[in-house]
Amino acid sequence: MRRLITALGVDYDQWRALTVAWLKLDVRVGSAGVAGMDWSDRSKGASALLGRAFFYGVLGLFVGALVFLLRDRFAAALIVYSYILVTVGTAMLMDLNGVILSPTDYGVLGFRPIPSRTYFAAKLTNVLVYTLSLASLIGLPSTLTFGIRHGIGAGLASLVALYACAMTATLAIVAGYAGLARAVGPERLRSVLSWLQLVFSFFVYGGYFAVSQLVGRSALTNFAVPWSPWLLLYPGTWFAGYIELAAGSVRAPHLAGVIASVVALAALAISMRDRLSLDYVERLGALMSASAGKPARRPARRSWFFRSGEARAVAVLVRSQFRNDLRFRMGVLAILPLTLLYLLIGMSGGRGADGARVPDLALVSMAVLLFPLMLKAQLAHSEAFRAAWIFFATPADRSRLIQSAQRVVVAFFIVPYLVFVGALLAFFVDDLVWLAGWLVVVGLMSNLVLLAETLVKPVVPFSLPPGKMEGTSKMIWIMILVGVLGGVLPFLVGWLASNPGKLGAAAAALIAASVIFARLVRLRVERAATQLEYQA
Amino acid sequence: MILTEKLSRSYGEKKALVDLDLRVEPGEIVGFLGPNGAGKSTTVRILTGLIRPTSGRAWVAGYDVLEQPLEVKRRIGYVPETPALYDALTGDEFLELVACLHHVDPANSFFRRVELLERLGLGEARDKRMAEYSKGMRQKVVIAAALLHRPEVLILDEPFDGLDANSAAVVKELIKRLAEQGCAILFCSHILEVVERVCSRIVVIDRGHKVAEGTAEEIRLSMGAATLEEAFGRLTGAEDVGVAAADLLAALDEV
Repeated sequence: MRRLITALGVDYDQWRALTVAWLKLDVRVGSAGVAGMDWSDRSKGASALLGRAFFYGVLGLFVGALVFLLRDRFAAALIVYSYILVTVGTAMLMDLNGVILSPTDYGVLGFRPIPSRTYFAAKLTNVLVYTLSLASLIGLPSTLTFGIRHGIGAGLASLVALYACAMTATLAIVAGYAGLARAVGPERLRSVLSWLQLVFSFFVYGGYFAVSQLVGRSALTNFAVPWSPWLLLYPGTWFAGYIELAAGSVRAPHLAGVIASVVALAALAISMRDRLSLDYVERLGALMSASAGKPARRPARRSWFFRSGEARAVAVLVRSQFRNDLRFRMGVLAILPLTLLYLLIGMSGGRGADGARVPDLALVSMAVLLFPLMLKAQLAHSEAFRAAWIFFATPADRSRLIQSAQRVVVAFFIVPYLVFVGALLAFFVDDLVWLAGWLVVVGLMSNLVLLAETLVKPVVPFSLPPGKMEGTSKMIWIMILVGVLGGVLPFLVGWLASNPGKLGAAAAALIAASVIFARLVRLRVERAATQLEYQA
Repeated sequence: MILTEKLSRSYGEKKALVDLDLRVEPGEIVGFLGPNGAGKSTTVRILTGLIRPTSGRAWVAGYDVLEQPLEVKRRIGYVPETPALYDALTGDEFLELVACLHHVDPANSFFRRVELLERLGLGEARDKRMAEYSKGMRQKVVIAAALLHRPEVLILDEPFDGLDANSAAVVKELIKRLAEQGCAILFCSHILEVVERVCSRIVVIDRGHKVAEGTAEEIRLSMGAATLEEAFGRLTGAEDVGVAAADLLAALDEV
């Protein structure tokens, strides 16, 4: 090992020391990777890590079962490697970009005598441990299934393809980051990355939905992918080719795919060893000084509501964070691609009972209901969590802070979002009165979801540290929730669409439920607020 | 030694450091003073290789910070103003990491870690995670990490921050003895009494420019001030403290 690492131009002792230290940190912290969290509880980190491993393991079993059910070997392989690509890509974009590009570690280690290539190699190892572990949890059950169903050769080929796929995705995104850092410069890098995440989430949501529609429309076991040369442009097919070749289907497209994957991996590995690793530390230094000299945006205007006390404090904080904290802003705006996508899909809806145009609103309803969950997560976890001491060291009433946060979310985000959705839908719905009624009903439902979330987990705003794999698992949870809601909402929306009276009845029931929930939340929050402690 | 020639650094339009000439000889402790935002941290960051200067040059222990940053980093010990630590590691684990990064021989590393932690009063806490450490304990770990590899040059940015009086006295004595052994020390602090007592020479900067250099006595006399504090106030354009305090109190009055 020492020889191999040294041959790559990396200082073995330093690489080993850094890798061991960072892995130790990750295991102890479980998911955080942020200095300052409550790490004195030794059991917390390991159990959080095990929880995530269990979650991805269950997903892996699900994918394995899908492979077992599908008759078409190539289609099954394509689904597995697409899933690996998306999961690794999401992890790299949502959670692990900080590992590669954050100047935080540089502040601790930048003045130590670590050569750039060694520093880069240790960072890359840290990321690869995560992405390869993720790929193992998700892909190994499928590998086993391929072995059982299609022979040991196919099983072994799928194992090689699994790690090649995960490595390629990881290295490609790391190379992409480095290229981006060069192209846009350190001042704009964070902003560009965030917009990229937003665009990527559009593809992830869209891809997930498209695959589920595609598989759902055909009988599951008969799902097959018709061959086209265009498929070779999609990396998932390259890795599926490994299994086809191992199973004896030696065809030119599969061979071409395998060759493309080997060339891509080799090219990426060479790029990592050369220029990219040599100027890595220099780029981190530039990022560090760029963040030091960043100007603030102009201050927020005085709000018409939330004029004093805890409510005013939370309103000022949330507004400022939205304006100046890119991570928070993008976390909130992530709802937009989902909404637009669902709206586009739903546009092909039919007509209501009176013949008026009514698009399929079930999916948009889903987005509206998911929004409070996304908002609450963004409102709880923040890189600025250390500043939450202010809520604990002042005589602020924490239960009021939590309840104010909930109202601020409604006023600043949910209501404007409903107006935005309403404005978009106005182009597709003839009956605007019905549309207004529908917006009120889903708005009330959304508020109910927000209350339920607060009831389950009352948190002081921006008081929890962000987690390393938190974004990826959040996205997967949202996808699962979308699946569940997708089964229920079409019936509900169909029932509401048939009659304005039913809409009114639903609204009345929801108002009553909101009043009851609000009381429950108040009682729960008043009790829980006394137990909350400063986390940093 | 530390040597800079016309060292400058800008952040966009803002000039944080302008043409700084600085010299710290081996065996010398130079106090580096300036009000908040004067450019001290920028200078220190350039000298430690964390950021690059916009123009000018700097040498530390005979090596150019731009051309040979690794050689510089091998020879410096640095105590940052706001030290970041890996809180999930124990004090001993963090020092072991630092020792590995400096290629300290494992046997020596173990001996030095044990000794340093023991002498700094962290013997019992060496296997506790640093998340459980107090501010002073964390500062001691940072000081130990700066000394572990026996650096030729020490750059100390508020090294006594968080230390109790006894520990601060020990560290003060340690700094003096390291200088006697030939270590070049750049000492940044806002506590003027300490600077006056510890440092053989003082450099004052304000808004990126060097505004004074000499012994505490020389600076005091050149400004016609009774104390170093008064001279510092005049050099950096501070308003009368009595007026400033009165203005602050007035700001708290009800409208």
